[in-house]
Amino acid sequence: MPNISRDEVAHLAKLARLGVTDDELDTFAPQLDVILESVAKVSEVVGTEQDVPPTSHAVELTNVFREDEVRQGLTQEQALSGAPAAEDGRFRVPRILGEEQ
Amino acid sequence: MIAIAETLDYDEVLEHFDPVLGLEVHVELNTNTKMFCGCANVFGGEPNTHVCPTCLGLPGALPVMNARGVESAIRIGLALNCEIAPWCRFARKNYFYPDMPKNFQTSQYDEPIAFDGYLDVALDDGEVVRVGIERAHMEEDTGKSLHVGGATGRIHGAEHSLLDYNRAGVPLIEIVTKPIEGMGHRAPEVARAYVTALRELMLALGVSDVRMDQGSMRCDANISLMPKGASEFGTRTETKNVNSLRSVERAVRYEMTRQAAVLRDGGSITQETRHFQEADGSTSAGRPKETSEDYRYFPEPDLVPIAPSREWVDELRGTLPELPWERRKRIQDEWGLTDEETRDLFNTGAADLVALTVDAGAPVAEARSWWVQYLTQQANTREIELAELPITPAQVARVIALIAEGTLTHKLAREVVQGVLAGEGDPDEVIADRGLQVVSDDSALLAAVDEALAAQPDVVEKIKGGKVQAAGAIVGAVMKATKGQADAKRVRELVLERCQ
Repeated sequence: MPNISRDEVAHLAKLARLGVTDDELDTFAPQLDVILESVAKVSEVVGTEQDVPPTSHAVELTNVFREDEVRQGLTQEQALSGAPAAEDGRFRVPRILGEEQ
Repeated sequence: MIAIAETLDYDEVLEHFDPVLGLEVHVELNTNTKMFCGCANVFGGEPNTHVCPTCLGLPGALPVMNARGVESAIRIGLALNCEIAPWCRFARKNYFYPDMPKNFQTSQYDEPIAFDGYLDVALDDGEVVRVGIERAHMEEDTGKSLHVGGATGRIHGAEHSLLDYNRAGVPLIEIVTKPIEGMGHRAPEVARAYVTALRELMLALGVSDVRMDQGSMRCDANISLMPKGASEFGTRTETKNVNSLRSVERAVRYEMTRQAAVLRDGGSITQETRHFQEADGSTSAGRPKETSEDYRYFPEPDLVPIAPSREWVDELRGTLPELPWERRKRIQDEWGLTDEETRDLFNTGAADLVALTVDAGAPVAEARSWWVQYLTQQANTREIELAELPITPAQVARVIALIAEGTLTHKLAREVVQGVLAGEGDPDEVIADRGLQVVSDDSALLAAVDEALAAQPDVVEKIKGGKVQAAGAIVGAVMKATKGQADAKRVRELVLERCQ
């Protein structure tokens, strides 16, 4: 039975770098709980006896590869054209808080 | 700013604790293109010139797996004696950091392509240790950040950062060992030897250029201590940034002494990432380690699973070259070397060079002697790798041949080699330009001998009177006149003939 706590939602919001207020947490936590419960119903339908493995892809394909051949990508100008800020041919981003990942 | 941590004397560490290591090595593959798009996989280059919508994570772009990337991963797995998964997937590792423009890294989580293998590692004294391999999985590299505005070019104090995504999406293989236990004082050496062996293996497979200085091979070292007699592992730290073989050994050793000091004083180890400081060999605290749940891994929906058939795996197995340890054994047998000679040959990095010199016609003993001794000294003096010396095996073989035919003495040969190293051309050119040939032509020598005899009539009288040892003075004069290029033995014979 899913049961997502307010703390868990706050933690997920932090991982997703979303600023969520206390009021929003009060609203979202129960809503997410309902969503999880609905999804859990699918598990009930599948049941434990039947052999329906979880899937990550709608089409049953495997081994879709491409040859190791270089294809023309974007120019530096094109690559940076959508960037809010650029400097010296690079994407410019605000100060990074915290450590290297 | 950074507090200098207390460390315990190394011997004392081992009196009380057993170290446990876990090594994670990232190897960048040398494919032509990135893992999921057709952008060129090249080191350096103008920033953001090897990018496309896929590796920039632009909306709607879809990844497609690089066949050669997957093949290389399977070949690495096979060479590491791993099982190859009959079916596996990529997963998204979610985190927010500007070096990943997609906001996730495409990696493998609980379904690595290769798992449960081992690598036999030779230590300095020839003892072989078997290191268990937990898994080898595929993932992609990140972009490179440049931090601007700080005094040190580091994140702290920087005003903003600049991103180059040329490296984002380059195929990486992460190879993770099982816990390495019971190595005692040799743990740091085992760590270095393992990374060395892994590097040689990658070179033999031809899957990566494994340049630690350029980041195409990187090592993270997990280290923990457990009190002697305990069976449960202690809390570990993960030291990153360890970018040379020597640093691997230093980092493990340092972290052992640091953790031991904390534990001795009744403290506990914080599970965290630590950064290796190349300058003094210490490590400094980084971020606390995330739990893997925080990465919210889930199967990558934009890629289909990989299911390597038995036939494909067997075919790839057939492409494995002679592996380093097989080659070492074969060379030792073929050349009839002792364990020690074999070790010197490989530790100096001379094996390939000697083999090529032998191919170019030189006898094994001479080729080995030049590369393992004289040329290794030259490389050490210049602080470069042996293979980086500007002299080819063919040139060394030529010098050896010139000694054999009497054109060069050993002393002159070294001068010729110095000339080649100085960029003066092939051995024969150096000999011609520096006028280094041994003077073995009797008529040329006789002229010099006669001149010397004429200059020292008193010595001639002594020799004629039976004092053969007096000939030394004449020989010396001839050698001086010919600038050391005469064959002293022949000169002596000629002097004695003339005085009869």
